[in-house]
Order: sequence, then C-alpha cells, then structure tokens
Amino acid sequence: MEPKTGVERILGAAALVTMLVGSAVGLFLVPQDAAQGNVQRLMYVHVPAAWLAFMAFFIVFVMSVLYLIQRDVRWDRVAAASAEIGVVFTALTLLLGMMWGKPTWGVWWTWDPRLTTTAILLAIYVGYLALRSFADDEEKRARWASIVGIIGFANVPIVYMSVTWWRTLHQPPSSPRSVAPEILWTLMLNLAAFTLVYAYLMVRRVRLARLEGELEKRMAYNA
Amino acid sequence: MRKSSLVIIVYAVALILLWVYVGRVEMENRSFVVAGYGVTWGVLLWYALRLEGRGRATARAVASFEVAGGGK
Repeated sequence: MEPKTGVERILGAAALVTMLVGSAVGLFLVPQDAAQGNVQRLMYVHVPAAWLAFMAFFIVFVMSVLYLIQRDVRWDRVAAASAEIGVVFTALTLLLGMMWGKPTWGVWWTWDPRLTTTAILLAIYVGYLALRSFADDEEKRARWASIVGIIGFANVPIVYMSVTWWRTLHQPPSSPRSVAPEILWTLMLNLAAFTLVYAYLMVRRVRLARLEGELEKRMAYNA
Repeated sequence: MRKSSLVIIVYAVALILLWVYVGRVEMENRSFVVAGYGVTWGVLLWYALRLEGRGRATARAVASFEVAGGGK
C-alpha cells in the first residue's frame, strides 16, 4: 500500500493518543459506579463500540443509496469499507457485553431482545461481506451489496429500540440527565476516541479497496 | 524488528502491567475489566495491523503485473 499521507499519520496518532487517554480515564480516574462497582468501567468501551457500529452501518446505508442513484463504484468501496469496520465494532460490542453480562447477570449470554437483535445485525453484515466475495463482476457485486446494505440497515433502529419495545435484561438507553457528569464526560471522551479510530481505519480500508480494484482490473486484463 | 512484532510486545507488556496494577489496588471483578479493555485494544490493533498486511500484499500483487509487463 502507498505510504501514509501526513493527514493519515496525524489521524492515526490522534486516534492512538485519544484511545490511551480514554482508557486511562475510564480505568483509573473516573470513580467506580455505586451500584455495579468497577465492572461498570466496561461501559466506556462497550457503548462507544456499539455507537460506532451503528454509525458504520449508517454510512453503508447512505453509500448504498448513492451507488444505486449514481452507479459510481467509489460509493460502493466506501460502503464495503464501512461494513467491514462495522462488523469489527459489532463483534467487539457483543464480546464486551458478554464480559459485562457475566458478573452482573450471572450469564455470558441470554436470548434477550437487545442481544439477539445485535447478533442478527452481526449476521446480516457478515452476510453482506460474504455476498461481496461471491460475485466476480464489479457492477453486479456493487448492486447486490447496495440492496443488502439498504435493507440490512432496517435492523439498526430495531436494535436501538429493542430495550424500549420489549421486556429485557439490558438496561434502557441513558440520557445526559440520568448520568453523573464525570461518567458522561468519560463516555464522551471514549466516544471521540472510537470515532477517530473509525475515521483512521476507514481511510486505510478505502485506500486498500482502491488497490484491490486496481488488482482486479489488471487480473481481468491479463485473463 | 517488524512494526507488528513491536506492537504485539508493547500490547502484551501493557496488559501484564495493567493486570498487576489492578491486583495491587484490589479492584473487584478485575479479570472482567482487564479482559474487556484487553479485548478492545487487541481487536482494534489486530484489525489495523491486518489492514496494513493486506495492503502490502495487494500492492505487491499489483506491482507483479507491472514487472510482468501486463499492467496498463
């Protein structure tokens, strides 16, 4: 891959530093939760991971719509990059949720609406990535993926609302009014860190997608 | 030393230090807390390094077409 540009280096460094500061504050500086104790510190990584997964899939949705309107392969590459990173964040959300669930609920996993809809979300976008690997033709692949990217996004609001619509073990969404300021600021700091990580990974993944497109073209030319 | 090896060593050392520290301050549920932050950093670093590796491999493949004179 081409060497990183100055902007990429700055973005990478900013993501790393903010992640370090966010983790340090979440682990050592912010007081422990009165009810849950130290295990609540997992919230500072679990919640940002979930938010970034939602954002990644929203980008997939927007790029898929743009692709179907303009038929420009660049939109499809951005969608594919965001879907892959979204899958990483969703898997991370589930893993962290399990680690938080075991000491608080007593089980690693339960078929709770929030957990189940999140697992379905992961399956949808793993399917999206699998679908992309099946189609050889670039145009056909982009069209199929865009349709899945648009339909699949319907599950994101279902995941978000699942704690309101159904009876669930998972806690309902918190609001700034219901959370102590130090907890809120730590959460916001970690959200900023995860957003920078997402932005950095996106820049690198889109660059890789361009390179993969170039390789496909050359292979087709030589076939 | 390769950059990825250095990252793995620094990550492992940081995780051990964190485990020792939370043990000394007697943090309850420390295994879940350390595992949570360890998994977060581990997954993100793994993915970032994997992207770099895939990028290098793809760039080499593109370059091989140029060497073979097949590229346009």
